[in-house]
Amino acid sequence: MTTMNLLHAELLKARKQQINIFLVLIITFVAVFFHGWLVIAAKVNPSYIKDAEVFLPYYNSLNLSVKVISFFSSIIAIVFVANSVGGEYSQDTWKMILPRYGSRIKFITTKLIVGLLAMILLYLLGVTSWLALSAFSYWLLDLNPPPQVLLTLKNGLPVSNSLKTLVLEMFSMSFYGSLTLLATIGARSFPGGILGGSVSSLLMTTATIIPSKYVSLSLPSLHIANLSAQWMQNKKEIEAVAMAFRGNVSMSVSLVIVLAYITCFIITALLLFQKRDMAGH
Amino acid sequence: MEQDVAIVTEGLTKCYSKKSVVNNLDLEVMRGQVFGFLGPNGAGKTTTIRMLLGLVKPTAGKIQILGHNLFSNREMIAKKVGAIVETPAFYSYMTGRENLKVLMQSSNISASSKRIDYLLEMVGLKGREKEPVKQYSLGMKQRLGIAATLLSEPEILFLDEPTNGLDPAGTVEMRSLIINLSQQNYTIFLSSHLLNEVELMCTDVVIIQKGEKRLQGKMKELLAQGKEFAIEATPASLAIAVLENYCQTSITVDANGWIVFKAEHFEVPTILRLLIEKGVQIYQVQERRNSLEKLFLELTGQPSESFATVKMEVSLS
Ligand SMILES: Nc1ncnc2c1ncn2[C@@H]1O[C@H](COP(=O)(O)OP(=O)(O)O)[C@@H](O)[C@H]1O
Ligand SMILES: [Mg+2]
Repeated sequence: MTTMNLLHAELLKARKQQINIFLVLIITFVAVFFHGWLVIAAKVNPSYIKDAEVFLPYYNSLNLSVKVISFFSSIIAIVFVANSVGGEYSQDTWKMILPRYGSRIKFITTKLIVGLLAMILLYLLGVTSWLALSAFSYWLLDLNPPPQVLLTLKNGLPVSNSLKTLVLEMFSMSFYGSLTLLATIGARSFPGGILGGSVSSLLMTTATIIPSKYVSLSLPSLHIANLSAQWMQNKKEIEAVAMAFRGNVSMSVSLVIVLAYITCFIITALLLFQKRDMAGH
Repeated sequence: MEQDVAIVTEGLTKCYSKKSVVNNLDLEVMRGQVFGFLGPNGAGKTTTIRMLLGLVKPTAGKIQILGHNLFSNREMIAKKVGAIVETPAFYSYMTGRENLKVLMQSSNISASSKRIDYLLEMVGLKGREKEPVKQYSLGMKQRLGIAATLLSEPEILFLDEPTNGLDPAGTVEMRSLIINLSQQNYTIFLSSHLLNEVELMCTDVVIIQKGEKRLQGKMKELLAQGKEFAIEATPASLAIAVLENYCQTSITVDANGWIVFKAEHFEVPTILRLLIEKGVQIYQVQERRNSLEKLFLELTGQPSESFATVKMEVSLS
């Protein structure tokens, strides 16, 4: 496959970029800090053993790791995309790289695919290292396997919940990623992309309070919340979202609306990128 | 015939907010030529190169590269072209070697260590390839740039002011690299604001000024017109009289007292013998190789002070 070369090139860049290494380090730091703290606390004060017994079994550990990474997910998506595309502006490397590609659209598409791959990889890496740390702490504290392990395994709930969260997170990261892509190409810079990506996400969150059905129905962040609430069957969240929407919106409607946003952002970004001159600064 | 043409532009024009930066430019570069694209700063050289690479869209005009329309054959042409545009741009957080790897793969070619090693060796970066590019000097980056242009084994090289900003040693290295390349059958499109640089390396030249073509021709033919020599001699008045009599043109004396005259190369011994016979003392003879500058002066009727001709280098070469 010839396009594998393009993917390899982008992956190497992503791997070497300090900001991406920093993103991985943040997640690693949180994982190490959490487990280190738990083990030391349990060793010093046996009353913490109970907490360890709750947090360390793999199904809870899985859930927790996915939640922790998800906490950072939109920031990660915004920073990654802004850096991946905006970095080419700040060092003016477009002029080296674009004449090689011939097709600009192919280039941005490659970047997007690598972005998605990187997010999946980050999640996998984060979750597996979290699980490994939990297992290690479990062993350090010499805990007995609690009976719930078998119970929950049989019901299969936590694992599938984590998987659902993962899929939802990927979806929402795709949304923030495509929004940031447009912002970065629009502003032609990394800071512009970060600013555009985060300010518009902030605006969407604050716009939730505007008391208008049409405003709330047009807010992609609310639709993402709706998808999450309904798919995870979280009653409290379903009610909260319904209140914001002033009525119920089905999952498929929300899905279509968010997908439409993503498509629009990407197509506008591509058209803008295709049309613009690369004339340096 | 068609196959011998590397680059053709017809009526190439670029306007930025209604002001034309490149105006109705017709170029024809044949395969194997070392084509000098000469013009003062701001003449539109970089803009032209960016258009030839598809980085900037022309406001009007046609571009054909290797016989194909650039706009409908971008991907096919991409592999056959290598380019340095203005200052070299690399991923500073990666090593020289990693940069070459990324750039090679971006041309949609599998990274070949053999090719990369060969090119690193050729540009004299062997041993430094594992250092991050942010630690490279401008000269090293520029040489890495040359290696990068050759990754996809292209046919045409665009080199936009490749010696700009380099120190004298770096300039000499870069020039010998380019001369080396020119002997390997690459078509080289070399832009420069240095008259002597183009004179030194190019077989053909186009001079542009304010986005318009002012002069075009084979270097040899252009230089053959009005070659100049200078002598340091006493008594000056006698020397000038003898020379005026021989050359039948007015003779000038430059700021340093050198007496400058136009003559063909083969006439010089005769002229010198004549001067000596008439009792002129000759201390030094120089060939004045700044005839492109003179040409430019005659052409535009204005001194080319915006051309940074390095006089020292001119007289040394
Ligand atoms: N992106 C741009 N927007 C507006 N003007 C530009 C742009 N790029 C170049 N120019 C102008 O075009 C002219 C030619 O620039 P350039 O092609 O860089 O000249 P050269 O490379 O010959 O020094 C300059 O006057 C420059 O200011
Ligand atoms: Mg320039």
